[in-house]
Amino acid sequence: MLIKTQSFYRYFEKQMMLEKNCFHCGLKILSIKKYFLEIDGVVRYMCCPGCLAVSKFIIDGGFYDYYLYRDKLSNNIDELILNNVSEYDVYDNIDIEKKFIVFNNNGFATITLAIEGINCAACTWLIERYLKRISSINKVFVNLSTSRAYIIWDINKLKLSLLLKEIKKIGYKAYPYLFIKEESLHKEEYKNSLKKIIVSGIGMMQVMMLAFGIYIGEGYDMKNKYLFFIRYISFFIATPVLFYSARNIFLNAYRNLKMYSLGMDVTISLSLLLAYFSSIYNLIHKTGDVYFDSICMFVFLILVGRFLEMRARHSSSNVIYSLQKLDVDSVVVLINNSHIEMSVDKLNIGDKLFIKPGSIIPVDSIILDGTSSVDESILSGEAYPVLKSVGSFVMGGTTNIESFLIVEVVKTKLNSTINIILSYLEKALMAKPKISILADKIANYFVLFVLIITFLATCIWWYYDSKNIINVILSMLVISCPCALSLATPLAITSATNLLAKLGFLVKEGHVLGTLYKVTDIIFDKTGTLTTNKFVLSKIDIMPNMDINEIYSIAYSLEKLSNHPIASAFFDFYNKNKCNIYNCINVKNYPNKGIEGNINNINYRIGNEKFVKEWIDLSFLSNKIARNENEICIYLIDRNKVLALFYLINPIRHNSFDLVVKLKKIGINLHILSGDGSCNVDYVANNLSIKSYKKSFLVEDKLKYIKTLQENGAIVMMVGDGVNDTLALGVAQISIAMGSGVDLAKINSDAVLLNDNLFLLNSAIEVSKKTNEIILQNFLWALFYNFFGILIAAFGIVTPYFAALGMSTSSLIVVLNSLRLGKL
Amino acid sequence: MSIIYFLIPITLSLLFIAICFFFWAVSNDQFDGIDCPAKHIILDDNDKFKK
Repeated sequence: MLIKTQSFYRYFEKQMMLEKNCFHCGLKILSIKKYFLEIDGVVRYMCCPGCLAVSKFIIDGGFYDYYLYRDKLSNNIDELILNNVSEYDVYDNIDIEKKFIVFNNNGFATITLAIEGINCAACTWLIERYLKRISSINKVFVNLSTSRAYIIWDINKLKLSLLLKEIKKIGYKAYPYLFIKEESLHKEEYKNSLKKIIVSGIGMMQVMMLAFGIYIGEGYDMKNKYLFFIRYISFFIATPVLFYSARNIFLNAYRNLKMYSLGMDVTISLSLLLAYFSSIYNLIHKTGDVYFDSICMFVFLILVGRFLEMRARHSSSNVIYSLQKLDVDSVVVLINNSHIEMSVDKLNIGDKLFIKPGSIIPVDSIILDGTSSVDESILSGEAYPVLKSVGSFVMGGTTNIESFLIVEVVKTKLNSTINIILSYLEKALMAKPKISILADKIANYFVLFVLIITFLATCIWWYYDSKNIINVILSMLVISCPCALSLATPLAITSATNLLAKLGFLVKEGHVLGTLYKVTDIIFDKTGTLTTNKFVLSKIDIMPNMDINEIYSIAYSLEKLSNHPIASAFFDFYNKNKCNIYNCINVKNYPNKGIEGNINNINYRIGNEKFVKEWIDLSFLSNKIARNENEICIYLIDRNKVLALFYLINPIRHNSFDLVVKLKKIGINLHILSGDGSCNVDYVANNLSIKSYKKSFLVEDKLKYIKTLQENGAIVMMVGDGVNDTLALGVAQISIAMGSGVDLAKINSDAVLLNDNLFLLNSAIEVSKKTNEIILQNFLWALFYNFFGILIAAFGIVTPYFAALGMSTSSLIVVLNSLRLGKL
Repeated sequence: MSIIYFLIPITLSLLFIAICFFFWAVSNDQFDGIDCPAKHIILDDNDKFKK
């Protein structure tokens, strides 16, 4: 966050004018005029060939603006250029690829890279802009605070090693990043915080005890030499507290100031230093008050508040770590009937694994042999284990409970569901929602305001009564608390995102929480969203003189080649009746209609009424169709006659009913837009009491419909299957996809319902509302508290001790308020 | 009252020892997983799957 002033630019220009310093990295130039470049008509000098090369590269690429935007000098490039760049070639190894790269829907590779050398926002700008120029790179996000980049690119056109080399060309070292490193970093942060809290806590208790001695002693005429001795001891204890426990506060303040921005830590550091040094002065001169007890307590309470916030921040990663802890390193593989232990990273699709009861299934796979129950709670929030048998799909990270299973690998570790969820969570947390950015801005100006007003008050007090000055300055600086802005707001959002992730509502984009509660209209897709994506065969009508088994076989053989959920109804045939599978040639799949194929020289079609009408006139059947309103008819025909009628039911999800009731209560308008043209749409809409519904809608129709709503000011949420509806999902302000049974990597929506529990939509809206309320509460509290606090501090009514108490309490209040979002 | 010249340094040294112990405990992962016992209590036994 930058408050760019005139002096800022002048300072920078001054640095540049001094030709003794390298234009790129700011280091001293040893041999002046040896490396230089004419930029914008002015000759600029560099310190070394490295800086010169990168600078030339940046200028030639048209990125001169980088030098205008940056607020920190760049890295010295010397060693990077001289280093052998072939070290990156090792990343092209296929094993490494499997370990780091996830492939998405369109065949693009995605990767998270840790980047060294990012100093300021201009660096992220430079990297993003430069990489986006490269044609094989699709998307780039760079996060300044974590120094990580998330890149989507075509790995066939650009090898990983070349991608890393490109980044090196502009002066940054990048390497692929694994989540697991983060855990040890977080552990370090946790331990260090604990140590600091312990030191400040014990220091606080001891110094406050001693201070009591002084207060009481002064009342009872304790001899001065003892009073002073106790004061010296207080100083002795407070010093390590300040310089060890409060070290990070000072470092942060220093970093803030270097970037010409103001943060909470600036006022805190100022007040701590002021209190400390004025206390030392009073100590030596044996006059006035010493504030060592206030200092220790202040540091302790602030650290506790930050500790709570850090834990919440880490716990989203804890959702990740609990997933990571489920990471198995080795697994037993069956090769040619012998059990061999192998590393999970080396698994290939098609490998057969042997999973013992109680073990974690390492990657997404399909059961080949065995029946068992699997605990999926980590991924889906489902409390009860799910029964799985031969042919069932099991997810990596879930626990096999009852009996032995032999499974076949379907996805490698990094493409498994867990990792995709992790990367989505990661990406969502990377994005800063609008309200966070706003809060940061306000905090900046607030701190500036506090400093100015403190200065004014100082002047006034100096004029009237200079004895009280230190007291007043300290109190004013200490009591002001922008924590609601910089601390509590991001915390609220993190807690809410975590809570939703635990329930199974996976937020992928940063704007979701801020928009959810504003939604006025929700559009549902029918098949697979409001209804399950399974179809069940309820009745079969076979024309006279047809062989039942033959019909089954033909139907199954055709439907086997279809991806449509309807096909799933026919798979039961195979499992129950063991009919024949015929080879089909000339197979054509007509979306929303059916399948056509040739078996044993006869052309068949299986599909809906519209489809078969193209070949046969169906009027003779009209009174023979005994169809209930919730059934759909699928016909099997050949060129001349109808062979069979299949009646299928697509059950409505049971939580759709509850959801609709709740949503209507909130006053949200509900719509159903379905590509299905049958009266099944009417059935579903009527059953759910949704009045606004459309059938046979194509993608363009959906787009138009949404745009019309939006023109009237509606905020639209679209809930669909995530794969086929991508265009419509993109137009709606929020898009949500059903997560189970679909390849997660292919989903393009803003959020995913992992366990298909539609009712979570209601929970998500409630959480979003609550988040917004809590952030507003915090803002209001901050306004009220700061107004009165600074006012009474300016009048000298508050001692620094109470100011510290007040500030810490206020900070704890807003932090705890935000943490309320962790529970529903 | 001059005893406090003696007592207070003793207190400080005790505190110092206490802090050293705390530091050892933190480094030794004693404070990790402090959420677990709280959650352990309320978890049910898996009666469903006892045969």
